[in-house]
Amino acid sequence: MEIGESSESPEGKKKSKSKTPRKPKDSVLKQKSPAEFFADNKNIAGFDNPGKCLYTTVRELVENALDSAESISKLPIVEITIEEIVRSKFNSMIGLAEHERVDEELYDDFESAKAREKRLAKEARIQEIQAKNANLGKKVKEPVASKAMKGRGETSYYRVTCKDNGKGMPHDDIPNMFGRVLSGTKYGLKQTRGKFGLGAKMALIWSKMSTGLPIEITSSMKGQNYTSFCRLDIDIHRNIPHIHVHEKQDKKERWHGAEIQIVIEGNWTTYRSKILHYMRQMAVITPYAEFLFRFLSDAPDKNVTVKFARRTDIMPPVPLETKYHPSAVDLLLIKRLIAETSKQNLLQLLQHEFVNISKSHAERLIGEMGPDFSHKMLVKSLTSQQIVRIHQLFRQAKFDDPSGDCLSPAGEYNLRLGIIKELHPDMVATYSGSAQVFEGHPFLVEAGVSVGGKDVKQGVNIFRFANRIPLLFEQGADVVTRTALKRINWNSYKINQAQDKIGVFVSIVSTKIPFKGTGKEYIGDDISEIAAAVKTSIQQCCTQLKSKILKRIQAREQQERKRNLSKYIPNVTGAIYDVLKEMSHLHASKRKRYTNEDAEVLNKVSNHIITRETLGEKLAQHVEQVDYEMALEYATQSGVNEEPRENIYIQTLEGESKFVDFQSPVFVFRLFQ
Amino acid sequence: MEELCKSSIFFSDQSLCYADILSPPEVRARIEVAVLNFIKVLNAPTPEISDLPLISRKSSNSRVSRGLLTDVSWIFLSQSFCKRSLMRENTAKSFVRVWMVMKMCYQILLQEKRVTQRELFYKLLCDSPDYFPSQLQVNGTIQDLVALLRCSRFSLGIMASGRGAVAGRLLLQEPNKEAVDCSTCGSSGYAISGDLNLLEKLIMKTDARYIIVVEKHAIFQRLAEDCVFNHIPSILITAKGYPDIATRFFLHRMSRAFPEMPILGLVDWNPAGLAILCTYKFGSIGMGLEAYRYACNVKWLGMRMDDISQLVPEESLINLKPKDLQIAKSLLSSDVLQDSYKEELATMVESGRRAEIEALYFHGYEFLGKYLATKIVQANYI
Repeated sequence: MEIGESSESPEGKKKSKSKTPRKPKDSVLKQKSPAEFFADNKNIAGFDNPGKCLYTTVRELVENALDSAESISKLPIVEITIEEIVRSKFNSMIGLAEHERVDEELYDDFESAKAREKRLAKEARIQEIQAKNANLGKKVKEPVASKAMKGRGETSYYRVTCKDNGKGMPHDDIPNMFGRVLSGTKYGLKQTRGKFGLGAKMALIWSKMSTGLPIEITSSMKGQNYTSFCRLDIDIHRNIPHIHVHEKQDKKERWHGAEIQIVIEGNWTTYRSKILHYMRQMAVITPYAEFLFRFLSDAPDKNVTVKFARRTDIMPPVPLETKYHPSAVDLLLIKRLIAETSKQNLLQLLQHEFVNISKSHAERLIGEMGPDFSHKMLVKSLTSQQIVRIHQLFRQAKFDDPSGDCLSPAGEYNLRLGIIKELHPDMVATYSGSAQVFEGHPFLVEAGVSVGGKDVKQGVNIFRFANRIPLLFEQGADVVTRTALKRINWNSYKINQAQDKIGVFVSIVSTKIPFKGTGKEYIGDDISEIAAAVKTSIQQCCTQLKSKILKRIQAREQQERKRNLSKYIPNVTGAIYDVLKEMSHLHASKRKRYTNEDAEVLNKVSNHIITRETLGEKLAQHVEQVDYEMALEYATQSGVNEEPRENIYIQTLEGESKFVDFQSPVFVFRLFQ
Repeated sequence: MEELCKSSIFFSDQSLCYADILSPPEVRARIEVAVLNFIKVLNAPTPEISDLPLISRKSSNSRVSRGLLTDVSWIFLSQSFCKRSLMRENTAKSFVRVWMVMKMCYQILLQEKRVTQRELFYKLLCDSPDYFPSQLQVNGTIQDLVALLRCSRFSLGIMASGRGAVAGRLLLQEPNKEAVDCSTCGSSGYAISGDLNLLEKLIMKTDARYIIVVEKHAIFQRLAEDCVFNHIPSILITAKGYPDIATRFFLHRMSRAFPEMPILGLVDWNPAGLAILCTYKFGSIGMGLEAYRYACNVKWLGMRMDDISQLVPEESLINLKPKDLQIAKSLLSSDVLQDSYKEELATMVESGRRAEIEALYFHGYEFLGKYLATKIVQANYI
């Protein structure tokens, strides 16, 4: 209501001001709708530039899809397609005629005569140098393709489609779920994936800002015999949905879930790797989901199709909504709880609206609050001062830590599978800590450390997850980065920080992740509880790895030993034989007397029975013998200590398949075609 | 000399391991036994490559011997062994090195020559650079050989080039040569040879009353140039840092020749300074098999805590470095250090500062002599 009123007033004032345009405008009291606020500050929600907008849109859609499927305990299948629409196609889509450039100089990419001269001169110079190099017989480098004048990956238009097998949406709620910012199903205290609960709405605002095209939603719920179709955009100024089409259609296939299609401006070239990284890391942390990612464009060589197959059907439980911990509430929150509660009196309020306050504990607390308070006093009758008193007591009193029951970590097993599946490391270790507390919010840290693997860079590669979504930006200041790079002594675990391909995976889940910065892209390094938990988790992984690495080193040494030792033999024999020879000379010249055995040895030396060669042979023989024995010993030992085998996940076959059976008395071998 | 050492060994010192001082034929015999044993074991019905058992030169194998009636103590090595084996990857190389150096020594001894460690290094560098990339490996292997054959380095025919210098009221005479007056040798003093035999034969005469051990050559030069020994009847000796065996040997000879003369140490006020003092006083673990013989009862004259607080200006104090703290830590954990030393060191670590002897120049160059005189007169040493 207020929005309507205030929007009138600036109109009136504007007119009067327009007469004196030079005078700075008086500050006018304006009111913004939430949608407008986010449109103006879209960078807060990760819509900084066209490239990032494309990334964030994908991300929001994928996360919504996962939430939706998980909420009905269905193994998620998410299909995401990005389709490039070139400008001409886009124009024809919106019915805009193609315009030829008339005044070339008007455009940014116009090449003036001077610039042209310069470019040609430069090209000539390069050619000259190349010719010279060719003459000198130097390796001729491929001429660097001069970058298109247009600059790096011109922004283009993209149709992003995301289809899931989730819950779907009730037909009548669809418009409000997309067309009204800050209305959502995810508010409340629980571990959620979203950042602000903006989700697809922010993407819609961006599409409205960049292309003006509406969003299309197709949804069907279990048990519905129709499919809801809705095409809408958002009235940014009033923060209400603007519906184009909203209808029920016949259901063509047995399907539940949602398919969302949106056309936005974006930049695939610059954010290609980020989007692919995101998908890959998402696949790591949610190995129970199946992702199909496609990028389609007019140029077939640019197309990308990646399928991240499911590797397990064990899904973490749905995070439970929990009540607030007394030490985590502020004044406003207490007031809100009081306004919303169904409980009548203070005792019940304390006992039922907060965790970790039992009845007797609540009674003691009320006693401590002072004579103004009593068990039976009505909640609604609490004055502001009294609420402040309650808040203060909450701050000062000691409460048990909240349990981690409401958290839904990825699980050590899933994390491990994800790492193995996506990185194929040589070795991996995972660790799951127990729940800890920061400012009344429980948090749980899980970590995985891998060594080796394909497509992994040398050095420490960090993969961060918060509430089971990957964090890709602002890595430098993050608690995980800092810990892994500064506080872990990799050397002591026999890991070479610079040379080995190390993957560090840390997943933190909490009812409230203490993000730093507006972008919510990293967790600060200043929270000692989290920093310590991260460090312990990584160290635990490293300790597990160390024993494996040691074993491996042992095995390698075993292989290399023989070669190494044989290398030493000539030097040893040389030294010993030289002394022997001198001795035999002394013996022969009778300058010194040796007896019995010693004399025998020296005679053999004089008679060339013991020579440098025989001595070397003898040594080599022995080295071989010992090697053989040790290899045998090693084999028996490592045979016993073989690692436990891991279950493999075999995907279920969908639909009907043709197969041939091969029968045998003991088994049937079925070959699917 | 042997007798003197042995006579002071009490029952508690029975575990003492030491390197004998032997004649070349005796050492050669030991080498021959080692070689023949190796061949025998290799030729035995169940052949083996024998390991080389060395006396361990680690602090865990070090013991402290304390005089019962005097405050003289020294460090020696006990009977714990470590092995150099061809069959173990990490010791195979040092195993080969020991044999190679042993062969060298055998040939040297046959010709009754002496070489310096440096000479040996260059010789080995020519023959097998893979095994001896630096002097460090040569020195280490020589000590391995000492620990294997249990004869002193000098007996093996190896000497270290001399580093020490002596100045002051001392007359030295090599047999059949003219006597040298160390007070007229100038500021660099009389160079102490690395040849222990020669040092053993020196005839010494003095009218000094003190022996002053100086850590640094620069300070030694200053004192010699100022002819401090004319005011304080003394002999100055330095080894330019950590003392080599020859300097320790020489100091020990002087202490036996003039047993009533106190030996006073002047070192920097930092952990390394004290460590140097302790090397003179107690010997060292690295050369533990022979160094214990040359331990002298050096008293700590300066610089000490009192000097710092009274004489050194605040701005001359430097912060202790991690390396200093490391040395301090190992000194503090050592059994041999007497409590008064430990207290001094603890105060130093607590203050987190260190100071060079040169800090005393704040009061003028000639102050150093006065400082020494005052301290000696007051018998201000511990």
